[in-house]
Amino acid sequence: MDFDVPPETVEFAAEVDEVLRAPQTARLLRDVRERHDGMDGDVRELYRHLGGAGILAPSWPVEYGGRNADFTATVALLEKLVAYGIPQNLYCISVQNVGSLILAAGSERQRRTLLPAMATTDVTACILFTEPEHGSDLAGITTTAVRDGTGWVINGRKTYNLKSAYADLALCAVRTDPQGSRYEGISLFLVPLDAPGVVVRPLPSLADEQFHDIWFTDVHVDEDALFGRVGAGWSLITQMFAAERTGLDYYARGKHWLDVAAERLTRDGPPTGLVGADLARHRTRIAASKLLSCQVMQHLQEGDADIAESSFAKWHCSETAQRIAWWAFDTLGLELLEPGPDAGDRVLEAAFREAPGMTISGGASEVMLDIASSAHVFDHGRTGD
Amino acid sequence: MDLRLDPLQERLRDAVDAVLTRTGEPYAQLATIGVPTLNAPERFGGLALGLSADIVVNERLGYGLEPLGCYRATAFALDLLDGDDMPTEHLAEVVADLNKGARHAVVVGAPGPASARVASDGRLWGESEPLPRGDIGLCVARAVRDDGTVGWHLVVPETGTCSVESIDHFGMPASRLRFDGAAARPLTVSTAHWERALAAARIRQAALLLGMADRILDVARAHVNTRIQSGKPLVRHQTVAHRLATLMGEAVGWRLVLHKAAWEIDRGERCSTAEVLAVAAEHARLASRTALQLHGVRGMLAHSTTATAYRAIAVESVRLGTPADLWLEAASAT
Repeated sequence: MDFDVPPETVEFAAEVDEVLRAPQTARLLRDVRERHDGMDGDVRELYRHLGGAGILAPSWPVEYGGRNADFTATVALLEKLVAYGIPQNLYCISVQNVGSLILAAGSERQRRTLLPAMATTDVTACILFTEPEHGSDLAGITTTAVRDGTGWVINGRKTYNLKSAYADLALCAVRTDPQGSRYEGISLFLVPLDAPGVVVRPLPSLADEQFHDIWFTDVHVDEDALFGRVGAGWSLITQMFAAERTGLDYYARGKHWLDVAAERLTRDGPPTGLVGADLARHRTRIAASKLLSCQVMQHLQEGDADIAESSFAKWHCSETAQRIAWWAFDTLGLELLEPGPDAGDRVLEAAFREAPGMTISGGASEVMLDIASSAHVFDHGRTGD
Repeated sequence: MDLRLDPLQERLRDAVDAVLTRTGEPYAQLATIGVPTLNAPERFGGLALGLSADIVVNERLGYGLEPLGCYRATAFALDLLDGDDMPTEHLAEVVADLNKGARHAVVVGAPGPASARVASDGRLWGESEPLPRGDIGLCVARAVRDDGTVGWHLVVPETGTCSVESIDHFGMPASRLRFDGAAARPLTVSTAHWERALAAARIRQAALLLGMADRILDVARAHVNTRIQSGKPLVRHQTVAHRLATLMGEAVGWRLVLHKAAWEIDRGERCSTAEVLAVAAEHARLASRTALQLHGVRGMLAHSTTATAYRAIAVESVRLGTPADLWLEAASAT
């Protein structure tokens, strides 16, 4: 094994630092935190500033707005975005998840028209899979798309999705063949969220970022909104999950929370005894999270994606980050719940509210372990029967 | 960054696995593929390939449930000796035997306070903690001197002043070395050198424990797939499958942490590994306890694999410090 980070990544990380330290970045970040829109705070102008610097899609090919960098550049980018307090969910969903799926499975036309714009965040995308009655059970979705003369008409409701209010496009899973099997009747569409018949309603959350309810009422989309083949939705979703569930964003948040908590705990000298031991324990565990995430990303880069490996990495990173957030509260106590002007206090208070959702969003822990069990614990998983 | 085993590590893994299928004394068998010299310092005829190679050997020994403590004890002793600039020509015969796997070295008094004592005439008295069983050719002992200071000493065991007693250590074969006025030569081991040697020893021990955990989880996995309860295999119960999936996945993460630590030590970028041994020890214990639980009463049978692993992991998980102590040490290192 080789744990060296390539010099190109070191240079890239320095470049990211320079962009994130720039006064313009700080000003735009302050604007986001003001939440002038009364919702999450619109991060798109800040993202466009970062995207304009060409740092948001380092692993994509140059012709699609990237830098051809290896996966370690993406790891460095996420660590730094989180450390500088840049809200990263819209970025992860749009660039890392939807964008990477377009790169892997989209048509050449979709890649050429969408990816450069997504890399600069001139175009942003969200994911609309979950429905009121179908969360982890995605094969049960009921939103439909029916062919009409010039395209498709979509009807149904999606819910509990993040960042929909800030997205131009939605990668939407719908049922195109109600008679087909639960899996074969699903297709994916890239739906413009400004199309007539789309209604987006925010749902306040315990965490800082709201959920959304989205209604589709006779929403007409063109034929080229179809992503992949008709009926190929399930395999594309599985492919995306293998790429999405690197655990990287969960790891990056957990690491940042641990760094903030450690800074608080070491103000009066290095913590010793049980608190010091707990800190060492969390540091060791988050190091394992990072390496598991890197392993998934290396295999993705080599075209050797493994859904079970990804699922476990997501489980590990999210559970670890969650434990860190709760441990910070257990250790720091009441002052964490009533944050004053201290930025670290605010980070940990927000982390405490976000923590429960980490093992639900992006694949519930129980589902992740079901997938890992099926691949590695059941006999048929090992023999491939 | 490349998180796959490199070609040398893969060849070594396969070679150790093959050797463990042979009959005969495993330590001597390992010598036939050059393992005892793998990580040994060059001045002792070793290849100094580093811990990145050595951990693969120890993982596979663990997986084979062949703890072979004499292998790690020898490596630890030679690492400590390597810090002293004394001439070692007189040890040539012993070192040759170590490299052939005919005899092994031990370190006495590494964990906890030193109990052996050295008199002003340079003679060592006392007895060791439980040690690996085998023919001991060389001993590096930590002992209290007459002036109350604690220091390292080299002892080449001789009949009359040293005796070895075979003992049973929590059901595992072990030995105890008794010193009755053995000639002890003082060694100069700096704090930095001691820390490096201890860090390497802990990495080897962690590799062994992760290998043992892998094996017992495989045993448990096989059992729950074949054992039928209430009309279906045990594995079909989510509480069973998830416990094993969690432990098997955690093992992958801890192994990456282990390999990274070994890689950093090989590059001289790290000297503290208490936390790596702590997580490996805790993981192996949990794996052995879970495997025993999932086997039910049959897992409690004296000679079952689960019971054997439970004993072996218990012994090996505290050989270089308890997890509780290791975490406190890790806390002070941060």
